[in-house]
Amino acid sequence: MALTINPAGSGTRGRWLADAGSFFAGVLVGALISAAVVMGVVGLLSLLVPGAWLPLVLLPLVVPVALRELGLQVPVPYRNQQVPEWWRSVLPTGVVALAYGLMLGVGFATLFVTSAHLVVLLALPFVGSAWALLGVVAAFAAGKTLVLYLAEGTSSHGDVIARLSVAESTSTPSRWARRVTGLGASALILATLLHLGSLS
Amino acid sequence: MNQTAAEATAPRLRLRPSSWPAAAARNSYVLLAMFIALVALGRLAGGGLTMALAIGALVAGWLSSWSP
Repeated sequence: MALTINPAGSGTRGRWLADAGSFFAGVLVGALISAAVVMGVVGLLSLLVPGAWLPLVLLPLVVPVALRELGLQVPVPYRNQQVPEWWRSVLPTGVVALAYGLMLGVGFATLFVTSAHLVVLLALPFVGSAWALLGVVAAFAAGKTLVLYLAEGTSSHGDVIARLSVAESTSTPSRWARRVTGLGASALILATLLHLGSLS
Repeated sequence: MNQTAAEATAPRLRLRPSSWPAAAARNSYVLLAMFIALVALGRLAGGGLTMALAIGALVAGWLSSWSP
């Protein structure tokens, strides 16, 4: 995303920061849409399943994404495509930032990367307050936007490309570092959720 | 040291020292270190589900912001 939203693409540093803000807003809204759908489904499910059992009922949904994160070719409910490239050539950068943010914020409209995404969404209905929910979704949007800092201080697309360390991102230890982090985040959330379920 | 033709034409993929802080935004080890630090801080703060979810959400967002 830093190859699309960077100071050279936006024109000025100020415009770049505004575009990054649009991207953040898009991710936030997209993630809230996904959260609303998941909460609706879990809400309907709660009519049939007692509250304390709900986290256990949702647990099987996590298995395929966890296996996929370990590298097994298990089907997952994600679209196996990147964001549409052609949007960049027909839309202004600010609109592209917002549209890409929306698409990436929904999460399932692009490639699968980590099990933590689905686990976070499945756990959201169990958060007590709307503000806490908004805070969690904002943390997700912030994490998504963080990568744009990669373009800080660059003046051309070539500069951004030079910062993308392909050697780092494709090496086996790096891949495992990402897997451990994603699965660790999923395990942390599930352990907390199941602990709370056992207390209620 | 002589430079081979392949070396001369190979794309420069390694990080330049001046870009390290920005390049940390897309580094697997920085992500892992941040996750461990946040979990440790969360434990110290006695965080519950919301804290675990916020950490997980930040990691999920950051991790999914770059394709494998």
